[in-house]
Order: sequence, then C-alpha cells, then structure tokens
Amino acid sequence: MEIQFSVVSNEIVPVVLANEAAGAVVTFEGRVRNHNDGRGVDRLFYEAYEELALSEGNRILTEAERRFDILKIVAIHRVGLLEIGDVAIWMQALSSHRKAAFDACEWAMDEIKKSVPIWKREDYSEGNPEWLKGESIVSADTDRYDRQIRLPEVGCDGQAKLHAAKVLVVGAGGLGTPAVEYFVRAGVGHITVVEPDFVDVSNLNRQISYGFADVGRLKVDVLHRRVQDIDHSVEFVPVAEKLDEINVEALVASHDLVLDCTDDFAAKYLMNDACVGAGVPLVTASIHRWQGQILVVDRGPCLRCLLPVPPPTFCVGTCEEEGILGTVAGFFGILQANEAIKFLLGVDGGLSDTFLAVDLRDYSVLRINRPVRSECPICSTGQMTSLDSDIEVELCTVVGGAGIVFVDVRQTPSPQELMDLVTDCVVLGSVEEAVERGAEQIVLVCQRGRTSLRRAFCLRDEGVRNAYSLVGGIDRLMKERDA
Amino acid sequence: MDKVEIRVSYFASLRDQAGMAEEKVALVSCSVFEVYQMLARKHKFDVAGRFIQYAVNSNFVDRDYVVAAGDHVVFIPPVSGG
Repeated sequence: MEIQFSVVSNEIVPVVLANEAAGAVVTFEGRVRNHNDGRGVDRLFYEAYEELALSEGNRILTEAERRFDILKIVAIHRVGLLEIGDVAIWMQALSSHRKAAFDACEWAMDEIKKSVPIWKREDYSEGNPEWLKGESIVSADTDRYDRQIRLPEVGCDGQAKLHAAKVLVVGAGGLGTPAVEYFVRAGVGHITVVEPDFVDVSNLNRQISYGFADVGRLKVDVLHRRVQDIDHSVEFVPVAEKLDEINVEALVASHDLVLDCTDDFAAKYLMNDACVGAGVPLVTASIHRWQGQILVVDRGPCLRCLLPVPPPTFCVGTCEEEGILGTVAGFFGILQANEAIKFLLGVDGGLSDTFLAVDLRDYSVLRINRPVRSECPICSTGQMTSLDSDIEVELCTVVGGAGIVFVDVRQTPSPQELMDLVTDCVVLGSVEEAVERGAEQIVLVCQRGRTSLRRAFCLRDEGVRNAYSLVGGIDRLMKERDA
Repeated sequence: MDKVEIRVSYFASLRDQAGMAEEKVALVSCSVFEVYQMLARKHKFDVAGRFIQYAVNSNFVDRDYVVAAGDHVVFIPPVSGG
C-alpha cells in the first residue's frame, strides 16, 4: 500500500507532489503557537501510538481521496519536542480545481485531530505541563482496545462512540452478567444495571460475575466491584430496585440503548413500551433449556406486534423451574452484547425486523421475519386487548355460588383431599365431566395454582369460556384452613 | 373435504412436550390457531393457543392465517428465562 500518512521525529521536510493534471495544490501547516486557552505555551511534546496512528492516518487520507474529487493527499505528523513556530503537521492535497483540495484538507485535518492517537503535552510558561487529548476520547490506554480498533467497523471513531455510550442493562443474571462484562471490555463508557436480587449459590452455574464468597451479597454491588476490577474508568451505576411502572421511563430515557436480560414477561413489556415511547432501541433475549431467542426493537416491530399482551408468568417456565445450562445463557447474553455494540457503532445488525432463535443442542437456527402489526396497541392503532383478567378466582368469591364445580387437575388428583378443603362444594374428577353437567363455573385447582392457570387458558381457547383457576391452589387452601 | 399436508415445527417447551422437533400433518385446511388446538390436544401442550406466536414459511402470521398445502408452520411458545 502506498504510504500517505507518516510520523517523523525530526523536522518535517515537505515532499513535492508532481502531477500534470493538478491545477491546484493546497498545502496546510499546523504550527506550535505560543498560547492555548489563555496560557502562555513554551513548547510542545507529541507522543504517538505509532502503529495505530499510521493505520488510522492512512485510513483517513484514503477516505479523503474517495470523498473528494482530488488527485492525491499526503500528510506528515511530527512527534517529540517541538518549539514555538515548528511545524507539527504538514498536509498537501492536489486537485484539478481548487475547491476539492481545500475541502479535502479541512476534512482530513478534522478527522486526524479526532481519531489519530497522538497526544500532546503543553509546557506552560507558569509550569505544570499538561497532557491533552484530541477532540475525541482516544483513551491513554488505547492498547486495551487495540485488537478491536483494528476492525474497520470500529476504528478510533467507533471506540470513541462506545466510550460515549450509555447502556442500561436490566437483570444481572445468566444473560446480564456476561453482557455487562463484554460491555466493559469493549470500552462502553457508562453502564447502569438494574437488579434487586442477592447472589444465591444456585446462580453460580451461569452468572459468571459472582463467586462462592459472594453468596448472600447484593448482585449489583458484586458486579460493581467486578466491573471496577476489569476497568476502573467505566462509569457504573448500580440500581438495586425492581423495574416497575414508576422507574422505567426515567431509566430508559436517560440511556442510548437497553438490554433486557430479565426472565420476567411483565418487565420485558414494561421495557418494550418505554423504549418504543422514548425511541430507545431494546435488545431482548430469552432462554429455555437449550434454546434461546433474541430480537431487537428499534423503530420497527415491537414485542406487542408479536404478542399484544404479556402471558402470565406462570404460563411460561423460568430457569428455576425448567433448568438451564450456563453456556446457553452465556451464549445469548454475549449475543445481546454483540447486537448492542453493533448498534452503538452504527453497524446494521439485521435483527430489527427478524426473530432469531438458536437451539444449541442440535444447532438448528430459526429466522423469522417480523412485520409491524397494524393491530399493535403500541406501534399502531390497535387496542390493548383484555387478557381474561377474571380467569383467576379466590375461594371466598366462588364458594356459595350455585352451579360451581371444582376440578382437581393435579397429575395425581385427590378429589377427596380437595373436598375436605372446600366443604359443601361439588368436586369432580375431570373437566369433561364438569362440561357435561353444564356447570356454571368450572374452577380448576392444582397444588400451587400454576398448572390450573395454564389449563384454564387452554380450555378458554378451546371454547370453554367458564373455566377458572383457583389462586394459590391446594397449598393456599391448607394455609387458610390452618390459619 | 380434501386434506392438505403441512410441516409443523415445535419450539422450546412445545418441543419437549411433543417429544419431537417437527412432524408432517395432514388435515382439512383451517387456521393456524385451529391447527394448534388440534395438536395441543394430541400432545397435551400446557400453553394456551393465545400465547403462541405463529410463523408460516419464515414469516410471523396472525392466528387466523389459513394453512395451505406445503406450508411450514412453526409454533413458538412464550419464553422468558434469563
């Protein structure tokens, strides 16, 4: 590759660019001046992270040749000790007509100041020399991010974008902990984590930021320390609260991006609605045993376009009930961080109108296009549909009513046990029997009220509109009897 | 009425409950919701049809979408683990 950008430690010797097609030659010299910010300057000392400065400088000049109608552009940057009046940077652009060369020089100078890792120390007349950064943040420990800055999609500009970004991570569990750690390592400058829970020993198979000694401690506190260990310059804000209707809006609105790492549908929909309202992108993921799914809500379809109302928590399994392998949680947490980082860099992720599901047992991949639904209550004009909110009933509200039938829907039913708990009521062994008898209300009962709720929804969808579920199940009935 | 053959894939908990990832089904053409009701009875699924996301040939569809011969239908139950 032809070298356009170079760094020298001795006085700059201008090169003479010859080109017969050039009707204009614009030369710019940046010189050391004797004042800055109202203070007298005696001399300057420039230091470069040379390898990266060269690749970044050449990238900028190549881009200048692509953007402007010029024949050639070169630049030389000086490092080391410079006296007042010395040339710190020299640049020359050739073009057929003068405007392109003027524009190219101006643009390239701005870009170089912004993202080439060269720092200057100003020695003031009054003492106390100071190291100054460029206009953007190219952190003094650029080495830390060197391997990703080398990516064309990142570069110093991208690194500066990550540094300036504010992300909100809701949930510091199996998805949240790997996501946060990768954010820190990528140089995301500000991370807020919302998580009210304490570390439990059963978390340790997947929640990688916690160790055995942390059991019983507040998750956000442990994570805070972990983040500081990795990079103390990250601004970390712990929020030891549950996300709710009251705090969600302010939290979402003060960040550039939200990561949903919760296992709770109510929270997912709270974030969805707040993010769509505030125009903040949301990266959401869920896992079930070996499978997981991820989607991005960003100006396109939202969660309610897929399912207008969140299903009751008991209708879906959680990691606690269904089991989860740490690697599966980690995979999807990292996938979320990956999508978020791409978004912050301005790299199209391709997931904003797609639902992606991966099965890590057999590596089957499901990609499904998500349309914006015209009936979506959030994205469009649809109404918030009711979710049969009457489906759960308490014993006191049903006992005494005529035509009420209880059905034990446990795997191994014990109608007698139920009968003892709901004295003077009809208890049947099967739903079919209850339907045949023309019962007015069919109240399903199980041990804790979860299976019965699932069954009641299934029955209603099958057309049995008078199916209900007893809140709390047998456990609660026993507690009330003993109270 | 003539029957149509469709391919059905199960996702997450439905895959576990059905004991299979997919199957071919021949039925009288009806909505994906009705297809689900039928297969839910067969496999004793515990997730109600209203909570299922229905996809046909790699696109999400409304639950009243009527299946045609050769359709690939995917049932995706709500998943919330994290």
